[in-house]
Amino acid sequence: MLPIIDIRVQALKERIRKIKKIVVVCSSKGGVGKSTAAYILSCILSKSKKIALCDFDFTGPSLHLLLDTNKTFTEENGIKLPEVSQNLFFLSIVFFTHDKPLALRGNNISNIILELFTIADFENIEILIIDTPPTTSDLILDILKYLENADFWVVSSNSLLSYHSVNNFVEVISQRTRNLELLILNKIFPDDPESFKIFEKLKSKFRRIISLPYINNIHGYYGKIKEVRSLDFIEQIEKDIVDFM
Amino acid sequence: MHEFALAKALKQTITSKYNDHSKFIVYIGQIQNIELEVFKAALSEEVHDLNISLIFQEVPAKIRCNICGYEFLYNSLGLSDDQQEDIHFLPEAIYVYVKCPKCKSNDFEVVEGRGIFIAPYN
Repeated sequence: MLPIIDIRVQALKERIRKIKKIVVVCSSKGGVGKSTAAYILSCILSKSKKIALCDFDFTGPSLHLLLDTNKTFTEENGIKLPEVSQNLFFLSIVFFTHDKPLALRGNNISNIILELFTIADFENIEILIIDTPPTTSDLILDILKYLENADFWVVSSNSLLSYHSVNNFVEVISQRTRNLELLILNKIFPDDPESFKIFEKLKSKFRRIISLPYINNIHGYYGKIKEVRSLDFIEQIEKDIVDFM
Repeated sequence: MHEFALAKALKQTITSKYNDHSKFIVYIGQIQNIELEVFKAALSEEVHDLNISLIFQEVPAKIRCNICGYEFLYNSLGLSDDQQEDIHFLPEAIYVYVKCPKCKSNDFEVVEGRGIFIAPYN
């Protein structure tokens, strides 16, 4: 019998071929600030490039809250992503679930990834930033399988628990990709002298390590892209990121 | 219409995987809620230069509860137009709107009738 083929697999390949850079913001540890980091870095990068910020936390999406937007897609030979701020486009499962609760098994995760890449129009997008839930299971494995050239930006907070989890995560990921690009140490306090010591061991695994400070009243910056860009640490982060990219 | 995106995906699959075939059967899962005439119109634009023939077959959606094992059909669920529209774009939106009619669990599996598949035939 001749093989039956899912049409979405080839569609995904064609879609990603046209995107210059795909960045996966990830960590095995919860609560380290992946979504906040993805949001802040998208605010920075969208100053000069067309960014699609994609919420791949299908059962716990939060980027629509960080962006403070209820904008949704329009139909045009697929779905056209809303531009929530100049050069910053957005994709989330909430377009279809309206932020209602959702429980999914692993094969559903794979189906959603394939479906979104089949129907979403990423035309002219220069950088796709994918925010992920804390996991080393199906979602990350599917990203490794389908998005072969993606860069991994791993987020950790400054704690032994986070270090332990991220260390194992890096071990797993590095067996499948060489693109461990960036380690983001997040929510760092300025008076924390031990900030980087334990993470020195991970230094050789990444091209670069950056740190993002703890931000007081982060909620006050939701949906305020210009205000995020004017935070005092942004200039240095922008320099680090742009140089490195 | 996202039928155009699906038509493009179908063409990409044919041109990359099936250079040596000209007849295909396209299986359309029921929960995709595809408007077949729109899909065919989109396909006629996409594949008119390929000299191929396509047969379409809708696959009824069968759902099985992972908790009590009860099997039920998508078209028995009485979903609203808005709910079907969400499922049309992203079939996994079904997990927002549907529960097992017997045990009310939201842990179920779409056994058949999800997605679009293609196979050549002789």
